Amino acid sequence: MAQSGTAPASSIVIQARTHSPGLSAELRELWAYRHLVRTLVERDLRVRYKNSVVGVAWTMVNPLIQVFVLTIVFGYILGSGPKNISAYLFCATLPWTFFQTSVLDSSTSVLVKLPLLKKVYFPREIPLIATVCQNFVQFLISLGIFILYRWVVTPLLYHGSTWPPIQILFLPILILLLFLLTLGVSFFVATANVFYEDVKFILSIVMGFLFYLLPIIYFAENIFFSDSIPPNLRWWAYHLLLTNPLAWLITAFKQVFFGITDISNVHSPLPHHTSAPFDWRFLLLATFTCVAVCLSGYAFFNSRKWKFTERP
Amino acid sequence: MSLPLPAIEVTEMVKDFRVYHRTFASLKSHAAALAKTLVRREAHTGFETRRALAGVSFTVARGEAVALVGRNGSGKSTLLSILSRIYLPTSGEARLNGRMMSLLELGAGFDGELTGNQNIFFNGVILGLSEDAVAARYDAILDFAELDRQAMDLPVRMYSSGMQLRLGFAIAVHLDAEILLIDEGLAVGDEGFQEKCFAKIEEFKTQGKTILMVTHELDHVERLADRVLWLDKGVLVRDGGVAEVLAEYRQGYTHG
Repeated sequence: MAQSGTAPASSIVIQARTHSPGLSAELRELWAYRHLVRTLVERDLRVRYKNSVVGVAWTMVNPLIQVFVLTIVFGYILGSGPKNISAYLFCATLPWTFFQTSVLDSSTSVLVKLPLLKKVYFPREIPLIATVCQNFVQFLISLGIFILYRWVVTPLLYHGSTWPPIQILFLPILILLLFLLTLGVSFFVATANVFYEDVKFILSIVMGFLFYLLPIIYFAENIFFSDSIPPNLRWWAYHLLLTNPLAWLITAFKQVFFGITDISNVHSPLPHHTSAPFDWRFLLLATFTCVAVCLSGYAFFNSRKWKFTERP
Repeated sequence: MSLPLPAIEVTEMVKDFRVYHRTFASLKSHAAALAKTLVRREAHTGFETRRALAGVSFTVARGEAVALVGRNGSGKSTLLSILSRIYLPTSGEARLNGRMMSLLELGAGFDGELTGNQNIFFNGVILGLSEDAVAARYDAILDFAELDRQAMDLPVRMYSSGMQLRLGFAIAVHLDAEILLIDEGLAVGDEGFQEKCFAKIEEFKTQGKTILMVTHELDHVERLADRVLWLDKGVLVRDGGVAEVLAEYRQGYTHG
C-alpha cells in the first residue's frame, strides 16, 4: 500500500454539513453503491412473490381487474366511452399504476429501513431508489405484455392495423420522463414521511383524487370538446390539464399506442371527435417539469437526509 | 517518502442532540406547538439541546488498537456512530484514512427472509462490496463461522442468535477493512468462538490494521488495546497507556 502524505482514495472526511457537497459528489457515491440497489430490487421481487403460486403474474392481476371493472362500468353500465375502451383504459392504467404504487411504497421506504440505517452506513436514498426500481421492473413487464396485446394478439384476432404509429419512437422518452417524475415525487414524500407520518395517510387521499383528475378514464381531448364547459374556457382547461406532466404522459401513452382515434361515445350522433396528435410542445414542457421535479426532489431529500437518524 | 497519515484523526468533535418533549412526530403536534407559541407569546421550540460530545480530539496511528472507555452516556457510542457515518457532527472534523468497516451491531444487515448464503452476499453488498468480491471471500467466511453448510440454505430467521452472531462476525472480519470500529461486539458466542474472535483481532494488529473499540469489559481492553481513551460527559479526560489509564479509571469507578 502506498504510504504518502496525500490522502488515499478511500479516505473519508466527516464534518458538519454547512453546505451541500453538490450533486456530482452525491451521484458519485450513489454509483459506488449501485450493486446494493440491484441486490435490493432482486431481493424485494424474490421475497414479495416467494410464497405465492403464480409469482410475478400477480403484477398483472391488479391492473387487469381494474381495467375489467372500469370497462364494465363505463362500457356497459353507463354505455359511455368510445369503442375499444378497455384498450385505452389498460394503456392509461399502466403509467398511473406505476406512479401510484411507487409513490405510496416509497413514502415508507426510508422509514422502515431506519433501524438498519442506524447500524450500517449506506446512502440514504438507496431504499427509495430500490423501491421505485422494483416497481419500474413490474411496470416494464406489464408494458411488454400490453405491447404484445396491442400489436401481436389484436392484429391476429381482428386483422386490424398492424403497424404502430411513427410516434411510438417517443415511447422510450416517455418511459424515462415517467421514471424521473415518479422518482422526484417519491423523494419529496419519503422525506416528509420520515418526519411527519401523517403524509402517507394524506397521500392515499390525494391518490384517490388524482385518479379522477388525470385523463385515465377519459381523454384529455374530452375537455376540449366538452359541452358543459363554456367555449372560451375549453382551450384553457385543456392546456392547463396537460401542463401537469403526469396528465400529459398518460395522454401521450394513448397517443403513441393508438395514433389519432375516435374518442366519442359509440352511441353519440355524428360527427365524432378525434384525439389530438402527439404534440412536441407538451413534450418539451414535460421534459422540463419532470427533470425539475426529479432534481428538486433529490436536493430536498439530500438537504434533510442526515437528520433521518436523529428523528425524534 | 513523507510521513504516513494517521488512520483516524478527530479534531474538536462536537455533537449536540435534540431531545424532543414529544415522542412522536405528527403534523398535529407541530400545529399544537405552533398554537401555544402564538397564544402564550413565548418561544416554544419543543426540544432541548443535549451535548453528547464537547470538543473531542485525538489521533490513532496506523496499526494501533485503541479502546474507548467511560460510563454509560459518556459519548463513546455517539463518537463511534459519527465515525461510522450514522450521524453528522455538529462541528469539528474527522478523517478516516483507509477502508473503514464498522461493527455497531453484528448481523445488523441480516434479512430474516433470506437464506444464510443470500445474506452473506446481501451483507457484503450493504458494506459496499460487489458480489464478485463477496464470492471470492465466501469459503473463508464459512470456514470461520464454522456453521453447518446445510444451515446456509435455511432462512436466517431460523438461526439461533449465537449462529447469527457467528455469521455476522465472520462476514465483518473478511471484508478487508483497514480500519475497524467495534462497539461491544466482542462478547460473541460461546467461549471457543470468542477466543477465535480475539485471535482474529490480534492477527489484524499484526497485519497493521487499525482498531477502535468501545467496551465495558476491561479485561478485553487489557488483552487487545495498546492505548485507552477515557471519555466522561463528552470530554476526553485521559489518553494514555492501558495500565495507567485503567488503574485510574477503576479507581474513579469504585469511588464515583
